[in-house]
Amino acid sequence: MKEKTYVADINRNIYDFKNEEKDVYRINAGLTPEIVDKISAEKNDPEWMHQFRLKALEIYNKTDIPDWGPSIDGLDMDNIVTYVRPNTKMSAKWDEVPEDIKDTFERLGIPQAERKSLAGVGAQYDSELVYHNIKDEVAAKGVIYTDLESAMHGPYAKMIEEHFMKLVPPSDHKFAALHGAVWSGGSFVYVPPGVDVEIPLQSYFRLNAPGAGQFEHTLIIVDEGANLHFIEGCSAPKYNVANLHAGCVELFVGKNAKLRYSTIENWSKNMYNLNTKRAIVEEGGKMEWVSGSFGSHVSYLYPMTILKGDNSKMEYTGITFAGKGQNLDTGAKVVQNGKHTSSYINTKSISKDGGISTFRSSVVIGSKAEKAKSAVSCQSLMLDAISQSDTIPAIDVRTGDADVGHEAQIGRISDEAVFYLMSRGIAEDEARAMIVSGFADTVSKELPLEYAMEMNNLIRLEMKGSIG
Amino acid sequence: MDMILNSLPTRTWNHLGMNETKLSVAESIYDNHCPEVSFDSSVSWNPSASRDNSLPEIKNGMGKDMKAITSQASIGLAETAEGVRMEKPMILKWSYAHGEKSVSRVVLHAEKNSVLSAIMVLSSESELSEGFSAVRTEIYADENAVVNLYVAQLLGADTLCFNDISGICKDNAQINLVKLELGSGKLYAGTQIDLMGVNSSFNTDIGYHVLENQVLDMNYVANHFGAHTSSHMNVSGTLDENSRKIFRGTIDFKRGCTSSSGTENENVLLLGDNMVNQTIPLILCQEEDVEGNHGASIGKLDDKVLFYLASRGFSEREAQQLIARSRIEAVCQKIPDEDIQAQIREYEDKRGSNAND
Repeated sequence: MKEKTYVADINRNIYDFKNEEKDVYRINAGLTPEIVDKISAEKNDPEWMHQFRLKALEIYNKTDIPDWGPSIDGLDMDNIVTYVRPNTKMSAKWDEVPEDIKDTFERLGIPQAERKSLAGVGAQYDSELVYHNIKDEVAAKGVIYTDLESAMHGPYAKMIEEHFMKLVPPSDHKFAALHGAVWSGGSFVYVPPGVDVEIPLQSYFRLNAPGAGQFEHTLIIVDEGANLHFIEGCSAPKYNVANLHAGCVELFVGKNAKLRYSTIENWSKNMYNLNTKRAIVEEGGKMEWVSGSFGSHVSYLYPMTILKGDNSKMEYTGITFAGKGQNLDTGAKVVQNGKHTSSYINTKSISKDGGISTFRSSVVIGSKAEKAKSAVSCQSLMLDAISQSDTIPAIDVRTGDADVGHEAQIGRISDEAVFYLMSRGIAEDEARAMIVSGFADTVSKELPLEYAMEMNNLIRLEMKGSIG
Repeated sequence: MDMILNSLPTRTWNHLGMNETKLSVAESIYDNHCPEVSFDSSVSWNPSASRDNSLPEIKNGMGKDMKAITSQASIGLAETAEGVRMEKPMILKWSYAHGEKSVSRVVLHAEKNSVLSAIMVLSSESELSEGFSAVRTEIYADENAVVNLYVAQLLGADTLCFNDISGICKDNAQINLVKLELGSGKLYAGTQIDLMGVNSSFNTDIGYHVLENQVLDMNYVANHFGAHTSSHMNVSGTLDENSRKIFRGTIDFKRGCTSSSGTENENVLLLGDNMVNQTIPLILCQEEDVEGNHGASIGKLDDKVLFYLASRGFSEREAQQLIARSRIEAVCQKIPDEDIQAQIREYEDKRGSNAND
């Protein structure tokens, strides 16, 4: 009988606190044209958006749920509240945010992070943004960072109409259609040509209401030669009823521009995270994704990049930790249409305590993508025999002038490595902890220091040396 | 008749078109085609056996529609008795007449401690013959038995070919499969091996060369049930201009298959342009104490190799054909019969010259 070392689950105490719902406006649960009309009225939508929502609802009703991936049978849309408005307006000052909500974000460390290391912060609580601010010196460069709803009525209204759900149309899949019908909140970012935003912007999404959905929309346009790092964080307290997150992220990376999009996802374990993220990259542009998936009961998450322009590039670095009761289906997709494009996908996954982790990817290289290159690497670690880890990578190459490589490994913690470290005087518990931390290290080093620390908190693999 | 073939054990995005192959085949009454068989006394052969009830039902390689289409075919049963180790492989030859549409079934059963080796050669009246060939092979490897199966598929360019192999390994048993996929306008091949016994293994080497307008559709699955089981899939091939190929390969570590390992590698050489190359290598894992690896390498001929061959007087086209041929040759040499090796080389020569005309 091999000896077993217990690897503790992620400590979620710092995220698992609830605020009492008071004075909030909740729309009725379920999904009907009347509910969509009400949300649209609440949001003061322009008419095109109102019609867009109704059309998306029609598509939602006609579209089947996916016949692949984890089961979402526990999600009953008739019980999901699609809009919950906290009793406050959006503010640019933390002092004006209601005490209980401000306290939530303070416990999550958001205001402190803003002061220390961010160029701007947006904070969404349930369906609405409650705080949005950008540093004066960044705003002075012409960078726009605001909520999407007010941007739809300002000078960027036309730009939003031209880009909104053009990368992820409602017909893409059932939950994209759902998002199109009931979206609420989220951010709009525009970085003008040549502007380098040296420190990151961050949006943080907190879902407090039980049985609710969050459907924020993030639209980022990085114009020619500009550079941006955008960070997204999300968390929720755990309830006994299903919550739903069906957000949508659309990223437009201009000619020779660069965008890094980092996510630390730590939804509670009653969450169905059916999120869609997509980027399109013009000539010479670069898209970088850094993704940590730790929370949710069920997750479908595959950031997709379309390398449209010649010499455009993408990199995806991701880690997924599936513990007890979690079925996390994550990965990445890339379509390479431009010439001399390149993509690199590097993922790690850890499964423990009955958790199911699936790495799913697709690399599609089009017939015109001369001299395209792609490399995919995925490694999976099984920490016990009751968990599951699957790898489902797809490659589709339609030109003879491509160079594509793929490698994957799955295994357990090597006895030889543990033995080696023990022979150097390191206790077995500590040796195993070091190996697992080292396994996750390639992702944490891609994050800014503060977020790497948050991730290390999340992967607090407390090795307790129980033998047997 | 609408058919679903070569389904992945678990589904992924439908828009990729890799989950399964949907095919419409004209309704027809198929002839039963018994291969011409040569063998020595170490093996028994019954060309029209009834199904031996002592052999368990096994799931076939290409799915239930293939099972249905071949269900009426008579069964050719080859068996080696306990402890008998074949020295010389038996040879099963299918020679199809132009326009022939037929189905066949073969069962290979190696009893305890025996070795059964068989070479299957599928060929047509001419390289341009049309027709339909469906061959379903079931392999039973009892305790400590070894089954070596070699398949050379050299059918005519307008032939539709279904080739289905399934197998089951008991304790310490081994199934070794060598396949050359060369002919047919459209070839659909599915293999599923269940490693039930402790310390059982499945090893396969597959070589292919897909010419212009050819379609090659493959699905290989190794199911690890027993402890200390191993599987190795090596796939190597070449795609010419306007060809189409999909390779689905799955290593499935079932709960309880402790100390097992599986590897799969595909190496694809792309010649010309406008081909469709799809590769989907899966590892499914419900067991901690296993090692699984897969790799794929897809690309054109390395410039350094081209330069070297150019310096030796080869044109680019000649250099490409030389490398493509060397991949086939590497698999061809594993077939333990010189006459059949020569037949394969001759077939490839003719195919190559037809393609260049």
